[in-house]
Amino acid sequence: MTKSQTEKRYIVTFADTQTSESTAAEILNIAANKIQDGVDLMATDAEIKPSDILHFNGLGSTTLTLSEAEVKKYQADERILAVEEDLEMHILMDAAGEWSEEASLSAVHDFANEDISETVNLYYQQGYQHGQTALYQNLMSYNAYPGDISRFFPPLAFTAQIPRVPMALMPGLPIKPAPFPLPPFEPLPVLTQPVPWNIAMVNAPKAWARGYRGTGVKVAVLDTGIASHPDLVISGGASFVPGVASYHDGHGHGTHCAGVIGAKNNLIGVVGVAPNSKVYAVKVLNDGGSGSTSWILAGMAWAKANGMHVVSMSLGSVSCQSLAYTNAIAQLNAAGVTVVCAAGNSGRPTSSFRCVNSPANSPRAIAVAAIDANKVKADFSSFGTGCCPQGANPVNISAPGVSVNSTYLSNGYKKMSGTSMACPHVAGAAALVKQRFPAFTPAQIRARLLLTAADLGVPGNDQLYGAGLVDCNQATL
Amino acid sequence: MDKINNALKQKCLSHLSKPIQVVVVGLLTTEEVFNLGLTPINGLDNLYKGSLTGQQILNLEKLDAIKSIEFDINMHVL
Repeated sequence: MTKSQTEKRYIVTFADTQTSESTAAEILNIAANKIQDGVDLMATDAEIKPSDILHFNGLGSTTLTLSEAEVKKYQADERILAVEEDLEMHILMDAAGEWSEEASLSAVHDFANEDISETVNLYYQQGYQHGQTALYQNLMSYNAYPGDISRFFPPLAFTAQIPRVPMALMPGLPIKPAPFPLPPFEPLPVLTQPVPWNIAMVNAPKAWARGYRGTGVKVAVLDTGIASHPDLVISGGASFVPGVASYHDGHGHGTHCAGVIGAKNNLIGVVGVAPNSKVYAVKVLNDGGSGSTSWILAGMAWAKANGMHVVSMSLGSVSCQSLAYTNAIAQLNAAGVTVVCAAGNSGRPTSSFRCVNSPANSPRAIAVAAIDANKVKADFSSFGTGCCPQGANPVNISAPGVSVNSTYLSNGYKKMSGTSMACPHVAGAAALVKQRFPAFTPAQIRARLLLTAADLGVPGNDQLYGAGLVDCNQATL
Repeated sequence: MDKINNALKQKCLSHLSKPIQVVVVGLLTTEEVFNLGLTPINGLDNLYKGSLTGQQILNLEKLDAIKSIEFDINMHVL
């Protein structure tokens, strides 16, 4: 037998995946100039010759022709993880070139004829699950990833799509016990995005199931800004706080509200009411959580000028209706911008002003009251009709606003309470309605949300809950 | 609705020569806005802000074009 007959192509995998060409040459004891970049060469039409030594940067592997003696020598080297024959691989398609269950099953039947079907099946399933776990963990540890990783994970437990081969399909085949004890088979939990109670309560998942996730809808969060967070994508924004150029949130409130609207559906943390909406950070409150009316009006003007569809304003003051806000909201509505405002936190009996706060008390605003997990009005939630002045906008609708978990500073999450937390639920719902009915005006969106709300409290519209609990499912039917 | 609420009126009377931050709603020409010492809120029609003395605010209230003068009050997270 000649030397060439005993030599085969092998893949040498180094223990260090970052092994460079020069280090690979040193480990393999060959001249560095004999190694070529595998990716570069294979990107051309050049034919790979037996003498070619190709290194794949970033993968930590080299392919080359080796004798059996060389294979044994390299296998003994601690710097080398594995030396494996460069086998030819085949796609699993049927004759028509499309995957079919029969083709897949017949491939497994071939294994079965070799009496190793049971073992192969187990190894395959365990390997697949280990791979899935590793991929998931890698993605989860990549906190800085700015996008929606749901693209890597279709919204289903895709293990269910892997064809499983019941042994009943292979009748009469002898089953050999595994050559060594296998670890107990423990199915992995299905990987899904945790849905917070508040998001479920407003029936957002039912709207998502019908394709309404806020896609293409722009929502401006007029607040303390928004901090970068792995569960959020900030599509843009501006700051109207004097002397502060960035819309970064140093308070946390705006980041929390933004998460309720648009936290991504990505298997981590929380998910917002409209996870596909485009969230914009408009910083109108300083990092202490307050800001002048003129800053807020400037932020509203920005929302109008930049084509926002919905504005979420989880802010206010215990003051009577303001003509300035009334005027501004009317202008935003005329430009197609729906304005959602927190009703206020002054509803406790000890408060001297229990009415809806400004700007929520302006006509055409959607004033949102807060309820708890039992659908009972939060004690702090402002309420009342016809106060300050007579005819001021009352509570219009309700949403969860007690112990709401959402995105927070330092890539964290926090439970917060307030009508501030209720407001973005309705802003998110407005985004879903906008996607469902693109031609709707802000007045129609407002009416749609109120008419489809689930009644709470005394039957009909009332001063505590308005039209009731916002219902994303009904609103998008 | 009064153009000025009672709290602002009292503040104007006690701060006749001291500046008060206000937001104004009115139908004003560019020249009037400049002469009155107001600044438009860009992007929103008929809305202005300014730092006016109590006396200036009381004078402004008398103009027919002025619809409302309000404190430029602080808003807070809720």
